[in-house]
Amino acid sequence: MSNRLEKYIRDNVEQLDRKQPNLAVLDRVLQEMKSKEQGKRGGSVISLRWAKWAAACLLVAAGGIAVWYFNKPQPATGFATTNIPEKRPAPMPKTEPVEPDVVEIKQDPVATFPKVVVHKVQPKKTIVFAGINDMQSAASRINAVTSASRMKNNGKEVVDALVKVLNNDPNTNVRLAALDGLTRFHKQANVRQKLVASLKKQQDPLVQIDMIGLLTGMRELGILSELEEMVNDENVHRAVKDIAWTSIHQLRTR
Amino acid sequence: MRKQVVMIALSIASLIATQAQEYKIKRANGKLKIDLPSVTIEGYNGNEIIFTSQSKKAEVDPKAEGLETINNSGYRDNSGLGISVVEKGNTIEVNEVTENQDIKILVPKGVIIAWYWNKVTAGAKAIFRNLENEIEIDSYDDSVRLENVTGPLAVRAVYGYVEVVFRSPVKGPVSISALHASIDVSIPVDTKAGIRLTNLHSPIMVSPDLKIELAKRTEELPNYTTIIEGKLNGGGTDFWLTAKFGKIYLRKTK
Repeated sequence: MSNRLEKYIRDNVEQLDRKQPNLAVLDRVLQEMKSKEQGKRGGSVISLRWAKWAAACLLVAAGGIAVWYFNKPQPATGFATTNIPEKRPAPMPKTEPVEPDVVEIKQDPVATFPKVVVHKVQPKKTIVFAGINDMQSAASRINAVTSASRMKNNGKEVVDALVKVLNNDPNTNVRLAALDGLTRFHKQANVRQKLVASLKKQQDPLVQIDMIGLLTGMRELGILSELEEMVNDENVHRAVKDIAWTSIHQLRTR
Repeated sequence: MRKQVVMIALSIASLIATQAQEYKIKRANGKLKIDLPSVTIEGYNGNEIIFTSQSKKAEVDPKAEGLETINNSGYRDNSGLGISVVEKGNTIEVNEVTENQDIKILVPKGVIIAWYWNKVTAGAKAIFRNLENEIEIDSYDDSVRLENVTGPLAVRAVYGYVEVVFRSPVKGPVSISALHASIDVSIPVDTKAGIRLTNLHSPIMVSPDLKIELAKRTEELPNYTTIIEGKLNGGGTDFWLTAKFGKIYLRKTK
């Protein structure tokens, strides 16, 4: 087959297209090709060792991404329910019908909580910290307590409110602020009584230490039995026991 | 050789990045109550609360698919991070489910933070950074560090130390109480505050750059506590530091 094709080409060679471009054109094309080849930079040789390392790193990274993708937690579609019992709302203070005489208490504009107000209630002039139980913010409650303590015309009503905070507020710093406010009224007999009663209710060592210091300074002998109980109570903090022991000594020796 | 090390490091970093787990909640305000031993909380300009585990990822148990870990207190791991995240009204409550989790939480700047941990933790730390809203802290054993915060602040610590670096403007009230450890606070020199520093058994140290105009105190009761009370830059927000056995350091912010 191929012999026949070769024979055919040999016999008809004159009829084949053997045209060549003009020699001047051909020279120019060849010159251009030569100059391009001279300007071309030599190619870089990548070591096979490097390529292996790069491939290994890519594989490791890809593996990591795959592990993450298949193990990632499902996006949250909502909040989980829980079987933890809801906290009961704190009891609201008993209040008389409130007349509209409202005194605002200074509050820094940092938290968006209900406005802290002190309502004057007629005819008993009972001052309550309206809304203090509803305040989520400890800072707002501290502000309410300190502002009430600094009021010029404060009296039994403020004392009652401070005692209530001292006995019930969940935050130690708020209770300490209430105790500080009550210190101003230490000469009042009812304050003395309420402080003695409150000492039994306190569980936080910081509040206990401050109360023991205050009542010892007031030379309140009514706390001696309570102090002795504290000294012997396993659950009372060691630092409180030491302070209680010192106070017992001071009250008995003076 | 250096290139190889870099490539390996990059691969490992990408693997670690893919292992990090996240849980997000859309919320830009309200209160975040956190009951975790080891936590880093950072404020940012966003509208999601983002929880990330910084602990080593536990081995995947194929049998656990579709189930949630539940602990003694009834908290369920609904986040996939070993913590329970539950919405209760305006508050989001976060509780530990699996022990020894190290959680980072990114918080929009409008959210109020309340962090509590009242168990022994053997040197655990809680870190708070870049927060512009109220922070409430109650720590038994953890040390607490707050950086670049403005307050308001209510901190109670029993054994762990408290370090705070405030930035302007300091928003009150600031109330920090510690029983056994030190309180180390830095404030901008131009802070306007009503300062009260109280210590029962240890020294109080103040930067000479903070010009406190001391108030005249009339001691009506015998008192064994050191109390420094006065106005800084003419007075302003309540700024109370109370320690019983640890030192108090009050510095200017660098």
